[in-house]
Amino acid sequence: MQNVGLWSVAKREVREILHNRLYCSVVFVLPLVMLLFFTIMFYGGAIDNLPVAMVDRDKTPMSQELVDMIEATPGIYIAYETQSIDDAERLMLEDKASAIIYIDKGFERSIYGGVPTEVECYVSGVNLSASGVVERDLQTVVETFSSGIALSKLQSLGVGYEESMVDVMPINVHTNIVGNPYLNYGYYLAPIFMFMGLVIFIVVTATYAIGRELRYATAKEWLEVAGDSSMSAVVSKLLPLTITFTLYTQLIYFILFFVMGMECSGSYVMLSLGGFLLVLAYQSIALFIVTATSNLRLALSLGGGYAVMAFTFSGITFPVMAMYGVAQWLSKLFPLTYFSKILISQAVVGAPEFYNVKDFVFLTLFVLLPLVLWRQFGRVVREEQYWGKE
Amino acid sequence: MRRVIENEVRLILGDGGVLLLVVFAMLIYTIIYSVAYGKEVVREVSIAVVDEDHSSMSRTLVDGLRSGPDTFVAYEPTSVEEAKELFYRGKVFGIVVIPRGFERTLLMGEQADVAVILDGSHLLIYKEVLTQTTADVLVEGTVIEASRLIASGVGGEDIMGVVQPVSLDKHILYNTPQGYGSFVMPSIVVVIIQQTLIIGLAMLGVRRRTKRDILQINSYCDAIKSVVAKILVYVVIYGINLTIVLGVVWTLFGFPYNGRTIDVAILMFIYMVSVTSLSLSLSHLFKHRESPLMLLLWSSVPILLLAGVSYPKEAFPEWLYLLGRLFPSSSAVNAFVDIGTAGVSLYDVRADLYTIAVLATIYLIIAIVTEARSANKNTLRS
Repeated sequence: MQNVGLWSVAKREVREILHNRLYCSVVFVLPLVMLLFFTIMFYGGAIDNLPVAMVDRDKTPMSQELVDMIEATPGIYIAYETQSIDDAERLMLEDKASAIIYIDKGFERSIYGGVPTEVECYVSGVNLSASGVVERDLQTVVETFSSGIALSKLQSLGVGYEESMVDVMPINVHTNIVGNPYLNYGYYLAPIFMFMGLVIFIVVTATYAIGRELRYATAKEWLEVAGDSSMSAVVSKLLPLTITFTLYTQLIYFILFFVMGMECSGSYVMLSLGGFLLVLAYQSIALFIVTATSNLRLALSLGGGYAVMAFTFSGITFPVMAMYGVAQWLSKLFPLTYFSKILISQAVVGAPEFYNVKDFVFLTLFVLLPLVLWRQFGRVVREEQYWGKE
Repeated sequence: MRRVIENEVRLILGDGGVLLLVVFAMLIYTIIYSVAYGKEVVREVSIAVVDEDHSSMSRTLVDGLRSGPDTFVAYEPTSVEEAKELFYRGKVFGIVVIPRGFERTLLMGEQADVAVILDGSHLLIYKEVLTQTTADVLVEGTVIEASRLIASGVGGEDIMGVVQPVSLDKHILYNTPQGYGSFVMPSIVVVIIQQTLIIGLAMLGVRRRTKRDILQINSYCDAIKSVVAKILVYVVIYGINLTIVLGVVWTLFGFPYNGRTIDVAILMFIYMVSVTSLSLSLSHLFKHRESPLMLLLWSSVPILLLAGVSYPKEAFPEWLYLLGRLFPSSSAVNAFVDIGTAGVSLYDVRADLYTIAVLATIYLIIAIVTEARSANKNTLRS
């Protein structure tokens, strides 16, 4: 008999990865393609120059001044100037404009006459991410414009410059943003999309590594090489994958902090440990599902669905705390939820390490999950009745 | 043709994995995603208020902050340190600090400060906390400003014209509550249709070849018949599914549906022809039945992003956006959101419709050619 034990199983697996084209694609080729895709997608990250349609019915120096100020903000680009609101709405429906800004007749006259007046803004609720940026920038412009007028008015009434400053804004709000200070949309989405993509491959590869032996009835040979120990069979088989995917988590941090230019505000050690545990947790779940189903394709469907779903429930797109109670409870069933908490507090917010201890404990619990079905696993890899299911 | 249809239905029913993907996945996924996104808006975000001043003016401001509705004063800790701990533990998502001397400064006619600490790591939460807290502070500020001006003799009536001469009046068109679920669900449904079909038909393709389960095809005429029959099968299955999704799930979760049914039906029919043809063309490429799932599962989220709706198209390179047009889903997401949610007519989305139709034609031709060729290969081998 040839070499038996930990290294032999690992070596056997590496040989399989290198010679099986399907396996090689999901371990080396596609994860890198995925990371490249998200890097290109979110590189730069700031959403700017969103096209808007401008309807200036006033056409006075005053309205022109406001239009110029709007044009100067980074988020908005006046792509169209139309005569009527109907023309503008058509542009919005054809996706050529993200919003309509409307200045009515009598704008300048009202300001000079001391009558409060409004600038109207129509955004589409169908495209939240774009309209959010337009709203935010427009709000700032209009406030600045309004304060400027208020200031000059007060001065014309004989109030001194400093006093009028105070009068216009008696309470000053100092905002202090913890984490992502430039509110960069790409910085905010890139990390979690990359890890979500990685999780899919972690589950797929681990499921394939084990499920393949059942599907093609090679489990006997596998166990022989492992010296008939279920534990060393699993650990050494998954080892090459664990190492590869842990390296990918490091690659993601490299992309985030060195290529995209995000700042790491917290502990790099915690982030690395979190990444490692994320890999282990999802490998364990894959092992659990293969054991429960002893069917490669069914395990891939279930595990894959579970991996994709994690993204929604991690709360990055829509916050967990705003979900229904049921959904909040469901979100606890995905390791990615705990990992994204670690990711956000350590990479973005910079919270002290001990606030994430709980999340590490939960991730570790997922790693222990296969032990629940350990005896079943022993049977599945030894008894022929579990093999060969398509 | 009847034989092809019967055979196709038998194949779908005979394979649990395919049955799950092609018949049930759309409904299951739609319901699960609706449960996650159904609550629509972020309301009552917990914040902490640290009132170091304990004056009547600071209490007025705290009352203002308490009244919400977008934020909810969950804690009133005594120190900033305590508030920060709540913040790190994820109990609150924003902190408002009213410093000592707030009232005195204001009474002396000087500018007082209020600090707002915000969480930039979640933009939806950030936006709610920022707008609500600054609005509350602004209200108090305006009241103080107005009373000061009146005290210094500036006219009463037109006081607002001095205090706030210009304001922004925001109108939201379509999806008026700006719900997150209403925003993202239509795109998700369109992408699910495409992804489940591509993967499901690829699995069937492997089975057809390995089991030699292919009906005799002797001419291009047979190939055309076979492809058309298969498309019909999937149009019916997905048509029923879509009716349930839009009729039941949409109503249950209150997602907006403003489109004319005939417009949605026409759009979806062309989309289905396009997607089924694409899936049939791709179905000949896979060797093992596990391959399609392993190779394609990850692509769903990138494909959703490429549509340029859930992540705006202005934010990523144009070449990538154009490349994404090769997937029927990219144009269909756009058209379906516009028709279904905004309630426009087919004519308004003609550009997207045109793209889907062109893709349908191209993929249909490829599907027929590959169908004919694969059948030949198989009859030769057997």
